[in-house]
Amino acid sequence: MAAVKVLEVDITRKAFPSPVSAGAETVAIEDLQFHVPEGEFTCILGPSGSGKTTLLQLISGLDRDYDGTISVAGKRPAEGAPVGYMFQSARLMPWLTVIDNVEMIADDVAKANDLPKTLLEQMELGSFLDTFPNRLSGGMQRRVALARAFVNTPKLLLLDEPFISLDAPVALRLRQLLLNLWADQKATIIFVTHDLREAVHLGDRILFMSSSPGRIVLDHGVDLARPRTAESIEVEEYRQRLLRQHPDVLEGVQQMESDAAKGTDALVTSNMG
Amino acid sequence: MTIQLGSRVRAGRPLDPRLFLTGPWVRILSLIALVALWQFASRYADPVVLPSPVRVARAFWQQLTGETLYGLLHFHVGMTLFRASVAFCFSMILGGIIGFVLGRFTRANNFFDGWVILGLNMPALVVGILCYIWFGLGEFALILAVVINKVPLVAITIREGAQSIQPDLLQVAQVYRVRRLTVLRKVYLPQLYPYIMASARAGLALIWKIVLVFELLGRPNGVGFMLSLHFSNFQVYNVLAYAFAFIIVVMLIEAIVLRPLERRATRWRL
Repeated sequence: MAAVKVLEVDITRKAFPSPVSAGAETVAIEDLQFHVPEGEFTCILGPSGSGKTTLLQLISGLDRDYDGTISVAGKRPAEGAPVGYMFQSARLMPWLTVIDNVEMIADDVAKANDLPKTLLEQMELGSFLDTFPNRLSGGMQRRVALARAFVNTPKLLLLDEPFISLDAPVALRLRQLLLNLWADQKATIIFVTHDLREAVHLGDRILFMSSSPGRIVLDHGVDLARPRTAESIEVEEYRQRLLRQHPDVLEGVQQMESDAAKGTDALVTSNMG
Repeated sequence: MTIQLGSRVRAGRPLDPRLFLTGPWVRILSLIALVALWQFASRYADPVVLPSPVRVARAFWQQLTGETLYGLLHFHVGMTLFRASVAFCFSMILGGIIGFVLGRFTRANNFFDGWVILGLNMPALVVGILCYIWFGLGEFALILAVVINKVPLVAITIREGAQSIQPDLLQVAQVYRVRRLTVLRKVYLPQLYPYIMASARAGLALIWKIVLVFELLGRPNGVGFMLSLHFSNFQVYNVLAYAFAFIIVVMLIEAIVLRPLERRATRWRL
């Protein structure tokens, strides 16, 4: 049986008005096609400025100004295809308690099944339901956002570098929670990252994007048995092999990773200070 | 590090000059000092021009309970309170809606900005006179005049708030297709709340004062009317008695209505 395609993307062109000169345009995405079968965990990897976030905004329907077609579960994004979206920061309403933040977006089915509470308990936030987000740590806020993303059991989940600027153990734990939720709900996931190890750890498939204008330069199926462990030799070897096999495509990846590592270190230090 | 800092503060407390004149009793003490100063000054002034606090208190009591030709103090304060509250509610609702629309829609803002500036700079007295001429010396004219005066002020404050709404949080509501009413209640309003409270505060102070002026101009009752009456009779003690009645009511509204509202809405803040 052929797998049902949850997502079909065929963008011919997406441009923004240039911030520098009036009338001119910056092309963010050009000739980008891919589709994702139901239940697949797809990672999108690319240098910064390659239009990854723009791509997610188009798929989610936040941005409707583009040339081409996108279909989520047979519907155009503007028609209200059900997606979950996790942003780079948690984006919780600071004036709503943890449970209210999740309930605000929960649909009637989710509410009837008490899903907001169940999911938050699954995220080990059961004793923080009535807490305001600014009393929580960064990692806990992301867990609330993760519960929120899954609460309506969306057909498609978009995650835009959701674990960025967290220190390594916290990010690792969140990845595990994400994998558990994915397995529970059999969701289809698009996960944007710039960390190849993260992509190898999580993904069934990795799409590599070029720098601006963004298009897909390599579509790679990850051939590694699950469950995988982030720090295992298998993941590391797989990563090394990928880098060796596609030196041209992945030229920027190592540079990106070392930059990101520096960035993370800086953040960890500042958090501790 | 933390312990050191803490112990330094604790050790320094008895001598810390910043802690001089703090605490809840300071406010009461300073008010008592003010009354004492007044009492002292009135001993040396003409009692007709500056009556003593005791004389004013007596006048207050007389206005509240005694026989006066024009009705008792609480009736007049009540009339003023009624006019001010109706005008306040209409100004907040109307100004809030206009400000929100101007803040969210650039085109509307471009078009109506001139009107707002015109409204802001129109002297209150002119609006009052025009309303009394056009609509007669009645409650409607008075309340309309106050509303016209206050709406532009509310509108610019709320406009400021609506312009500063974070698109990040709106995107969350948009991507999860949250119902419009919920978005208004849980995304827009909490962000507008400080601006609403600011204009409510300013409104409370301003509207009272304008109502008094318009009462003086064209109504047969209310605090403004009584003030002008006592002015004509040169009864300064009665003028002051009414002024205090008025201040007490405004302070009560601040303490009973505005403060608890604010506390409830900002309890999420650290």
